[in-house]
Amino acid sequence: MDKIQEWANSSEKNRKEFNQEGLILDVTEQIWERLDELGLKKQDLAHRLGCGKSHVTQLLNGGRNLTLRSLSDIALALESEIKIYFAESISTKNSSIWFPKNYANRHAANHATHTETVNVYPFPKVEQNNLLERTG
Amino acid sequence: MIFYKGNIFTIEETDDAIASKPEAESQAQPSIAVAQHKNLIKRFADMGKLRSPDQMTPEGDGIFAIKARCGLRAYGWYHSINRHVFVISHYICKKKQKLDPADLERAQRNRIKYETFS
Repeated sequence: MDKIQEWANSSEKNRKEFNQEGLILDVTEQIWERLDELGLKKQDLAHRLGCGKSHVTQLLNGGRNLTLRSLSDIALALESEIKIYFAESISTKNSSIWFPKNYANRHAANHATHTETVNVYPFPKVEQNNLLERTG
Repeated sequence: MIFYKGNIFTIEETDDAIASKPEAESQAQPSIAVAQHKNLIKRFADMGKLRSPDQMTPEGDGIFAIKARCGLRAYGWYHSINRHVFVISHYICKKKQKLDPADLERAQRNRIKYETFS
């Protein structure tokens, strides 16, 4: 067991806070990733959300609680949608962890580091081209 | 000394880092900032980078700061020979964003000492 996990397991409080912060970091890093993909800055996101840059800063550094509603607004602002799955804890049963197609390689390392029971997967782009093909 | 072995980087700590950590972490309020800081270090080691420019910043002369909320931060550098090693010089908890030149000097001193004797 590494020293970080050792610290996390040293008390129930540490374990809870470590997992909470791990999930927040997963989500905020994915928001940054999507911002990069779109070539946007924090200020652009604030503009799209109709709020101040400092508000977005607090959301992205975990200082302000990110509600599901604000997460949904962020996804909309980033032309994305969010998929949330509950997966069995890695520490309980390794083989049961399910990764969406194509995400396993990119994110397995990240998810494998946590013992979360909730995995939030990054904003997949809405496949408008496919929709057009189907309807057309 | 190895602190955490990630998929991309191994995080090592200097003696100064080990000595300064308890005081820095005890000053971090609220205490959940400690959990955030450990997650940032772990994520950096596993993924090879932190995307948020606010949470890992270059401080000059190859020294970087990994910053949690409430001022808890770790100064460190990429090992000059083993590029898969990131060494934490020391931990500190301070409110102001601006780099204190004394911290940069402390990290530079620790780097010379660590890389000379390791």
